[in-house]
Amino acid sequence: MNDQLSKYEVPKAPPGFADRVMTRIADAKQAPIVEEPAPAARPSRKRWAVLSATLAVAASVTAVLFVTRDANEAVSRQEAEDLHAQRGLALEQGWNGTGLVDNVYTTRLAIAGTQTATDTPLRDHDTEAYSKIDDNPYHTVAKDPLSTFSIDVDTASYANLRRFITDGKLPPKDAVRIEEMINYFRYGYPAPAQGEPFSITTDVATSPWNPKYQLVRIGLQTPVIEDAQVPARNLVFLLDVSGSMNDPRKLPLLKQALQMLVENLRPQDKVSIVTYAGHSGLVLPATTGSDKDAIRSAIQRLEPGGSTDGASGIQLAYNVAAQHAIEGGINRVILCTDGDFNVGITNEGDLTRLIEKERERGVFLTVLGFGMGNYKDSTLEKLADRGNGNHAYIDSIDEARKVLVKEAGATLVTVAKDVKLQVEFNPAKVAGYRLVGYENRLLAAQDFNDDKKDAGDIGAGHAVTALYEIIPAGTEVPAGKVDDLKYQPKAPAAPTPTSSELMTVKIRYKAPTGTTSKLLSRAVESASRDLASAPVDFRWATAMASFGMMLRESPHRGNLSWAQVKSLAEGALGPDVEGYRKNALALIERASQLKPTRP
Amino acid sequence: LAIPAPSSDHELDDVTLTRAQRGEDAAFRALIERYQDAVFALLWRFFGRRARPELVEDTAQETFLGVYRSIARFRADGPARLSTWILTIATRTAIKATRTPVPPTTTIDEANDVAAPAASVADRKFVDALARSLTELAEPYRIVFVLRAYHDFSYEEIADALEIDVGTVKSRLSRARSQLQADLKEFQP
Repeated sequence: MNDQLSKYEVPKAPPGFADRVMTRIADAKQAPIVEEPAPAARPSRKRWAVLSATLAVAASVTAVLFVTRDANEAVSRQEAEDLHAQRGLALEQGWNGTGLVDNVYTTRLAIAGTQTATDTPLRDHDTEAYSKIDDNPYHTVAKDPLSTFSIDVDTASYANLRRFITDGKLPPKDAVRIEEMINYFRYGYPAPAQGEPFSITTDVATSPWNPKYQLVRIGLQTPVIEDAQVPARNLVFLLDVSGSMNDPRKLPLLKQALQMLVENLRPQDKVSIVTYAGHSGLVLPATTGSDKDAIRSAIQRLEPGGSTDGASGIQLAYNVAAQHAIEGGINRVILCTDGDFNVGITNEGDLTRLIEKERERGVFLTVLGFGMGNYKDSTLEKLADRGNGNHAYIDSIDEARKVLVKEAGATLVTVAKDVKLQVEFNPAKVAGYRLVGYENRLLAAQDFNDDKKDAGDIGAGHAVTALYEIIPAGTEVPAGKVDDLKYQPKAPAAPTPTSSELMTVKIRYKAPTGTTSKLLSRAVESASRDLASAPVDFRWATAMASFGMMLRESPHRGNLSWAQVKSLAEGALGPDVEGYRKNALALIERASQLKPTRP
Repeated sequence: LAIPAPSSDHELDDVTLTRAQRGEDAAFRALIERYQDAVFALLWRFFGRRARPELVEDTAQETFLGVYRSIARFRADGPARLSTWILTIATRTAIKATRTPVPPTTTIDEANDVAAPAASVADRKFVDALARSLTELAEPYRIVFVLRAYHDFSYEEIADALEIDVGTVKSRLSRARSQLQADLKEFQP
């Protein structure tokens, strides 16, 4: 009887109560908290019958808040703010700890990550975290003839900025990674020659944002593997089921996506599900694709919330993956979360080492981001990088289908790892250059030949596109005003006048299980053409780069306008069987109407 | 006298709590949804005869605003459960609210008529009687009883929430119980 009693004895919270509190919190964020609060208009279930009571309650609140004693201490507001800042800082610093800060780009990320944390005040509730990105600058070929970077097959940034624009907001600049916008789309590059991991395509055309400049496109394409030839898969899903995943765009969307994945499982495939942060543990032991019903019902039972038992979720996931490892197959842990990487190992250095150790044993990590408000893009991307994995952001059921169904087969077959690009420019043809995007992926020139330096991996059926903006010889380079060097020899003797080459593209990669890199090299001729006559895919990649530069308000966007971006994209839709490009065009249209509200 | 079971079986999970403490809105919303019914239950009973939807809603909103502003101070590894900590804030917010006298407009019984689902006649009678009896209690006794019986507070936690001695808690609780037992004699087995 007692149980029943508690159900009807007093009214429960009325519908929409949490919404009304969150609205008031949002209002409070606008205005700083003052000791003598003004009676702000508040959302109400009913009309306020007695205003005086309201005022009294409002007036009393701030007093109550800061008298409220914690169980063991009295803390001032200032102290609370300090504590909060320190907490965020410690989290970030722990994460950026030993083992991570070992090469150029992660160092950059680490610094940016720390700044993000310290910049977060107690009442600032836009806690999405993005590593700071400064657009790559122009380099003069005379001082800097080499440009080196790691490839990136991630696409998370595009889906994430689509979420912002669809919600009627421009994305934060640091959430816009141009290379991920370009690489979101498919391009018709030729299949690689037999035995080679990828084909290389290069072409040159006039830049849309500065007619005196040219754009060089470098495209890599890996072989497409028929689904039937995809090796057996051993997929372990590590799912965040904490209370905050209880949002239509999070756990329910994930469950729907997993159900779609189940349809495509073959008898030789195995799926396990480990949950963390809520009801933790192994909710589905490794189950083959011939037992779809068992998998479906396990997915059906997933619920957010509950208490944490402190089990090491990620360790469990890796153990399950190891127990069911398929020799020569795809062994992968797929982490799905809305931002928290507290997967059971609290020391972030340990987490990184675990992911790296498992990577060496052939279990890779894919990270799928969900939701909004607390999305930790910078952390998730770093995690996936460490685990030789990819990172995607799921904002809709279509994106879930793209990532978990269309791309969960062949593209999980790693074709090459530690893929690095280095371009050497010919000073006879090129005065300066700028790499468009890949800001987080820059490497030092000497890293190119260093096989110990980790870089991006690429799966079957993937394409990677990079664009360089080229300033032809004889044109001034708008680089930072650095004086000519006093002690160095003057400009090198005129380069071989016979070469008509613009540049040479070198690519280093390792076989999926190899430890020594191989080198591919390709010279690019200087012949250029009008953008209008460039291949449709070249123009689409250019349109996406332009779109990104507008969103980033790039200092290098020249006279680029939204109208230009739109017409570029409109003219480069191509066959667009899946409709991805048309959707992007609609997104450009929407973004062009949004007013920048960000600082 | 039957004392209802404690209202909270388990607390919000650690990860969501940590996220809420970092100021993440989605996590804080999850926290509200986890504890809102307990807060409403406490406030309805706390206000007794003065309880009406607007006052309870308002106080509950203020409670969660208070929780929001001080959540960073909550120590998950400390002795207090999160539910106790939130209900303590609710209690204090409600006490402040009662300092301005307000004429009753809706009684808890009227509210029950709207919100309560159908129940057996016997249960219904007991509930009505208990609710009526509770509203008859003087506030200092009522709140002690409500925290102890419905929200599983220990004597020490009640003492802390109301900033009174543990001895006072015990004596008020004892008086509240004898009063309720006297009122509800007909329901005793």
